[in-house]
Formats: sequence, C-alpha cells, structure tokens
Amino acid sequence: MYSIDSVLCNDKLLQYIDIPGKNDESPLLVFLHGFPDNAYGWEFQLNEFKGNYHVLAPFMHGTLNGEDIPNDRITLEKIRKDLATLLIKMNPDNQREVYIVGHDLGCFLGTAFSVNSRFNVKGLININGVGLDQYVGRKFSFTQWRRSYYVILAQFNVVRSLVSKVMPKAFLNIIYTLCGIEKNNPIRNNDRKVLSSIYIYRYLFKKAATMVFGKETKIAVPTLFIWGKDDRFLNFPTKKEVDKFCTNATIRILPGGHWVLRTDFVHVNRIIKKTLGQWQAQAVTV
Amino acid sequence: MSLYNEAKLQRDLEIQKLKGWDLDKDINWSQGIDITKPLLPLDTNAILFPNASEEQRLVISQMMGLIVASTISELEEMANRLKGPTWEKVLNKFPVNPEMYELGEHFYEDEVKHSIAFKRYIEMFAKEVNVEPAQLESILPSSKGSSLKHIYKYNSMAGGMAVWWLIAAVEEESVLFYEYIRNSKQTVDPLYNQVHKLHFEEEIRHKSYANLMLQLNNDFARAPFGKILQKLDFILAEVLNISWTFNQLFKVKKLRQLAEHHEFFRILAGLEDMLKGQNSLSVLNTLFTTAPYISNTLNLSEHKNLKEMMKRYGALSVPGFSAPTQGLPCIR
Repeated sequence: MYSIDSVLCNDKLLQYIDIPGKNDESPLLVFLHGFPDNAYGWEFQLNEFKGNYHVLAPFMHGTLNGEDIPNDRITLEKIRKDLATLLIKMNPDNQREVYIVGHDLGCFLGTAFSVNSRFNVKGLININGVGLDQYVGRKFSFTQWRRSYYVILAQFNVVRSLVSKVMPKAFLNIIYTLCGIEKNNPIRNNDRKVLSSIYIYRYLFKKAATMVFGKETKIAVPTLFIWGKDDRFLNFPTKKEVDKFCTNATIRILPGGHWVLRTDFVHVNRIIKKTLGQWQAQAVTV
Repeated sequence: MSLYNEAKLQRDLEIQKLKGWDLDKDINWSQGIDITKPLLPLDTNAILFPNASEEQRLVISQMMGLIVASTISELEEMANRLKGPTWEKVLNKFPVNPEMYELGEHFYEDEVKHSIAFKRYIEMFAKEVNVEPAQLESILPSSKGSSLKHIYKYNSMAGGMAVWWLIAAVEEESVLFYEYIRNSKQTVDPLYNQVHKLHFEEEIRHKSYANLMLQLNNDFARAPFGKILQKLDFILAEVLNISWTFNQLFKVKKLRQLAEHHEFFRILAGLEDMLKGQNSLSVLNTLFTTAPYISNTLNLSEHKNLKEMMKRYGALSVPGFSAPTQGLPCIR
C-alpha cells in the first residue's frame, strides 16, 4: 500500500499519495485522477514511476474518506489553489521539475495549472482528457455534444442525488462497463466515495458557458495526449484542434477506451516513460 | 506491423533510413543500356505474338520493360502529388502517432526517388533509340492529363482510401515483376535489373505502409458514408486502373510515327499487323487472363496480399475475371 499524507489548504486537508524519489532533487510527477475515480486509480503508474520520480497523487476532496464537501469547495479555482499549496510544500524553492499527468477531469486541473508556469511545470500529459478551453472549443462538434449527454444530466440535482446517493454502485458499474473495463478490474471496487465531487460538473458547465465566446489560451508547456480511441465520452483530439490550444503537442492514440491507463497500462507507461525521458533530456540541453 | 506499436514503427523507419539507397551513388548509370538485351523475360509460348521472331521478341520484351518502368514511375509520382489530400489530411484527422507521420514522409521520399530512377532509365533508352525522351514517353503510360488524380483526390475528400489500394497494388506488382526479372538476371539488361532490384528492396521494406493507412481508416472512420466507401474503394481503384491501363496501351498506335527513327520502332510497328490478324475479343481475353505483366496489372484482386487485405477490411471487388497465370510459364 501507499503512504498517504495531507496538506492543509485553507480550511480543508488535501490528502495525497506520497512516494518520494531517490533523492530530494528527483523531479515531481503529479498524477491527477478523474471522475468517478480516486488516486488509487493510478496504481499501475505509481508502481512504474516510483524511484526515479517523487510521485504525488492527490485525492479529489471526499474521494478517500467520503466526507461531505461543501459544493463551493470544489470549484476549479479552489482545487487549483489546493494543488498549488501541495506543490509549494513539495517544491518550496521551485527548483525541481514538475510533470503533470491527468486523466479525464484531472486534465482540466492539470491544464489550468500548466498555463501558469510559476511552478516549473516542464511537461503535461493528458490521458483521455483535455483542458476546459479545448473542451469548450468543441462547441460546434455534434459528436462531442452527443457524447457529453452526461454533463447535461449532471446539472440536475435529482440526477446527482440518484447517482451519488441512491444507486452509486449501479452507476459506477454502468460507467466502467461503457469504458471497457473488465469485470475483475480492481477499479470496480470503488464505492460512492468516488462520486463525492459530482457537483464539479455544475461549476465546469457554468465556467464553460462563460468561455464560449472567450479567447482561446495556448499552453506553452510541452503536452502529450494519450488516448484510448474507443472513448465513449470524449472525441479524440485532431491535429488541427491541438494546434489551436498547444504550442508543442504530440498525440498518441491507442486501442482501448476511456480508462486506457488501466486497460493497457503497459503501453501507456512505456509512452509516458519515453516522453518524460525526452522532456528531461531537452530540459538539460536548454 | 501494428499501427499502434510506436516502438516497432520507429525501428522500421530506422532500418529503412539505414538501408536506403542513393539515386546517384548506388546505381551504376555509367554502364549505360545494353540495347541487345531484353528487359523483361517473356513467356515462351508468346501468348500475344505466337509467330514472333527472335528479333521481334527482343523488341517486345524491351517495350514491355519500358511500359512497366513508366507505369511504376507515373503511378508513384501521382501518389506523391496526392500526398496532401490522401495522406496529410488523413493523418491530421486521425493523428494516431508521430511515427506514422515520419514513416509516411520517408515513404513519399522513396516514391519520388523511385519515380525519378525509372524515368531516368527511360530517358537513357530514348537516347539509345534516337528519339527525344518526350517522344518515347508519348507512347508509354502517363498519368498527365488523365482525370485519375482528380478522382482519387475527390474520393479522399469524401473519406475514401482508393489511392491506398492502388499504391498497395503497384507495390505488390513491383515485387512480383522483380521476382520474374531476378530469375532471368543473366540475360536482361544489367542496368534495368539493377534499377528494379533496388526498387524491389525498398518496396519490400515499406510496402506495409499502404496497409497501415488502410488499417488507420478502418479503425478510426466512423461515419456511415465512410464505411460504405470502405467497401467500394477497391472497386473504384480497380475500375480506374483497368480503364487507365487500356487507355495507355492504345498509345502504341503512335508507334508508326517513330518508325523512321530506329529499328526498334520499325519492328514494333510491324507487330501491330500481327495483332490485326487476331480476333479482338480473343486478344482482350488474353490481355485480361494470361498476357504476362498486363494481366497482373488488370487483375488487382488476384494479388495475394491484396486479397488478404480485402478480406480484412471487407472491401468488394469487380466480379467475373479469371485468375491470371501464376508466374510466367517457361521464362526465357
């Protein structure tokens, strides 16, 4: 099992898996899980990258202990500040390189964080997820609207209650089955705790609405998109789309669904390893 | 080769780059062409010209060799001209991995090189038979002025991959034709043999690229119309190929205009009279079913690898043609 630590972020404790690297200079590798999931969802990556990196995997509020979270505590701005607090603790003089790996909603946070280069972020990996800007950029895509039905449903209190309180297990099974996760996969042991932050969809929807006619922001940080091509919720990014939102991006599409980080972790880990190596080599050259 | 195995794709690219040949340094152009030697081995039963003399058979072989060289050159050049709509756009839409881009860029560099190599051979042959290259090219297959390029482009814009079926077919034919030449390398023109040999080596190394592109489309294209095109693309390539091949073969009617330039053309023009004596339907049937090289070109669906790919991707073909002769009977 993993060592779980916590850091006080204003009024709340942010819990995270903490696996220190070989030494104090080891680069920080931060894994941001999605929904409905928790930091344990990164188990195949945590095992692969411990040692060479100082691995951190925060739990979205409520997903570890199931505590009640006030709705206004999980806005994108507040959880971004939580992550900043964690990184200040881990990297107080900002000397260590930071690499962020996000999945699903974790990519919203990871991308938002990477736009602000104050934290020495040297690379961003988005697995079956995009930044909010890029997601809003799909406003004219009929197929993306069709696949995003769940975002619309999550706007309604009755649906959120049904999902997170009345029938969480059934809902999770449906989601994991739709994502091609096999029946004996440990992720299926997740319970209602991973649904704690469902209210975030309300914030994201409202935030997205304000961005529809806004200016697109380009990320300068080198970005890699790893995508299970049979994702039922998100279209894979095209080169044209990625060029609008990223200065330096690579796309790699694999067989698999939304949770390709679990269903094909060998391949995903190989790609992450190779990419991190290239980014680190470039950082040394520069 | 797996489309998604970036490590394998990268290794293949490295091998292709390492073993690739140089157009100027690795072909002995200075040896020139031995005009007394055939270019392609012919069948001993001389299916289309049963009473041809030795002299006539030599010229037929050389003409067939030039037709094959020109076909490969033209189609590979056309593939390169269609690079934007049929490759770049597809990969931008389905950006599977950077290695497919890099392999593709190298693939097109190779195709351009091959086209130039065969074209250079044809130009050298033109000098040997006392005509300008443009005069010789006027009786050889060409894609210039044909609507092939536009049709393949529009097919690609609609989501089709017909050009990749054509590319796969040309590659498989090139390999097949060299297998024939290789068996007769002591007798054919050494320069012709060398150009085909080097071409064959690179085709073998990169021929899976067409299959990868077809797989990419198969795995990613979701729209119903795209799925329909997937079934029909091969038919389109087949039909275009047949009509283009016949169109090009008719160019030999211009041979008489060149008869006074060299014995080569005079003998060829005389062969037209031999054909006139034969039943047209019989000639047509022979072209489709047993004439060496031509029947291979006209029956794309009988190529082994293409057959497998058609089955894999559910592609339909034009029904009704008989299988061509497997190999050349009694090559001389």
